[in-house]
Amino acid sequence: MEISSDLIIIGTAILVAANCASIGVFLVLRKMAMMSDAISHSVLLGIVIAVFAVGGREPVAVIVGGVLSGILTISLVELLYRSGKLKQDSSIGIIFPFLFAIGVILVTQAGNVHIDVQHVLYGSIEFAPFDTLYLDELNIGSKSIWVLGILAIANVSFIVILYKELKISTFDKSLALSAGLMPLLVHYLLMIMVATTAVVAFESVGAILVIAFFIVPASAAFLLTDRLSRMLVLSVSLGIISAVMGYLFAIFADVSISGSMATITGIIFGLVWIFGPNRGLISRWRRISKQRFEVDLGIVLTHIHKELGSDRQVSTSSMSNSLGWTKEYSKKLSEFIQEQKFVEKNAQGNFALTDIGLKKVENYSN
Amino acid sequence: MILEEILSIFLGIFTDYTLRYVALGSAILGITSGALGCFTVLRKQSLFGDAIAHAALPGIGFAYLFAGTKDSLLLMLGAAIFAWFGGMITLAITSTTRIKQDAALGITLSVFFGLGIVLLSYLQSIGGASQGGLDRFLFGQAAALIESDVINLGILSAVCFTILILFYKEFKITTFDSSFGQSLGFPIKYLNVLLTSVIVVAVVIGLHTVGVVLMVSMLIAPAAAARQWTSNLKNMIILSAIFGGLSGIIGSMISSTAEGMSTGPVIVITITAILGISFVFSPKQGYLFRYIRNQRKSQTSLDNIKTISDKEKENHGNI
Repeated sequence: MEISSDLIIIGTAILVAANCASIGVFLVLRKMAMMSDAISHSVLLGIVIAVFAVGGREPVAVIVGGVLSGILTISLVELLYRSGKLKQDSSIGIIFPFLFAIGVILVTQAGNVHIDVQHVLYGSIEFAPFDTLYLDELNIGSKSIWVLGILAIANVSFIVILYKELKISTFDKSLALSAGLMPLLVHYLLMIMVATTAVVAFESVGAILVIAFFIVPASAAFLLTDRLSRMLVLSVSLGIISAVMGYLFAIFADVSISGSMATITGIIFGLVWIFGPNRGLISRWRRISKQRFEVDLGIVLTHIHKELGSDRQVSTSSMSNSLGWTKEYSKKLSEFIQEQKFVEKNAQGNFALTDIGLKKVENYSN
Repeated sequence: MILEEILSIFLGIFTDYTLRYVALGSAILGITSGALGCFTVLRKQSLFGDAIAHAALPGIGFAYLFAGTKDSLLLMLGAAIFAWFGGMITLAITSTTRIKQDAALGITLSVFFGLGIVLLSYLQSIGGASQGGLDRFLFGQAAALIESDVINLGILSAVCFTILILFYKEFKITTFDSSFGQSLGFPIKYLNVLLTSVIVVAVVIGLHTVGVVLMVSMLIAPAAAARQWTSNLKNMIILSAIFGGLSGIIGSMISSTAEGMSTGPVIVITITAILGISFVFSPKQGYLFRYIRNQRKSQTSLDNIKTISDKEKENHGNI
């Protein structure tokens, strides 16, 4: 059975993206995104110690070691910040560089570990096709696909089985507590899933791409929807799109695969941020300027009404003087109120309120 | 025997040419990042340093790509521009969307770093081995510091400290009570940008010695350690700078004794050790003195109970 190496790399990337992007939704919503930064760095220490202990890169030992060091990181961070000596972000920023630094020193001190420190950061997904799994000396295909596939099943069942618990404890912790949904247990289970996902994904794509897939697609999805279920689907889809496009770009430009995947997640996020419906920068800017226009319309009509009431005349130029607007903006507004038939211009260029305009002004004052 | 060895390493700072610059460069980094880190910790922006350090990587790649030299000042300029840009993007994400700061930091960190890796791999594919020198910014390579690097670092650090001293009062107000500062008429927005820019410079200095990945530790750990000993901002900054500088010197000395031990990780472990010592031994908040105080307290209350019961016995006699 021969599968082309391109397919194996893309398959690996898609599985990493799907695994990280689904769990990442909960990290983003629970304001624990930087926990993935901490875990994905400190798993190095666990992996190195595991390799030392068993004398080789046994997948099971590596995963166990990585998960244990992930749990160690979380516990140390929580211990530090519950002691009241440091804030949570400071605790994260102290624990993970410390554990990572120990890991780096262990790797460089022992030449026989076969872990390249730089590949820890940006992975070696390029080599995924060469790492095959043997069952009774029978080649059963790529190791990374198998491991990541099993992880995907575990992650999907975790989310499906505990969906209600995860949802309620994410959005309303006290409700979860009072309803007996054990938010603390859910929290630790989630952290174990994060650690497991980080370790397994880390093996193939490196620490930084793990963080990118955990946080960026989920954040983009967060800007697109208010429903948790839709956010999960969107996050996974955006992650997979980034993986595929990132791979194609990397092949096209002959650059690092994991680096270009991370860059594409960022580009997709940027597009959603700028062009996204409702929450995007453009629609936000449009909404704000529309609201400002509405308010200014009210100001102008009330102004005209008041001035006419005290026997003074209003023209476009007097408008910009007394209301402090630029000439262009006053002109735009006065054209608009004439178009809408709120006012009429008489021969001297002064405004007079029409019946519709009068009604609108009275609406404002009521 | 061991003492003699330690002494000879220590004397090496004065005699050994390489070690002198390595230790000096690391000390400059430690002092600068220690002093400025106080503000990031107090402003609850600890991981901001992590994000902007990662964001600096593409700047190094671009600077090399366009300028074609490994002149450290140009690379630092590129790094500073991107680090600053990354910081601004993070602030823009949190202020214009409902995404919280932690996720915004994660986005900047991973995407910019990814872009940096793309650039480095591109440089590698077009330039062969010439890219090798850029890798050192990942974990830092204090051992590669030469005299001109150290002079550059010293100038940058002096700029940071001049700004810090000139704007000390303003930085203090924006850190502890920015709305009060605003009511006094301080341009809080510009001050925040200025403070961020100074922190960017400190981060850029750090890229040479501890690298992108571990830089965050140099900003947070000295400040957190100093915080255990004092509640006064001025003292905290001075103490933090001392801790940072000390860990730079000790770390570079330890790493010079062992073959292949990178300076960055050793410095980080040293400063974390100083933090641990501070946790245990600081007089007000430390575990040791708290334990002693608690013991004394329970002893005094035991004594009190004893005297009271003795008095009772005297008054009423034995029953």
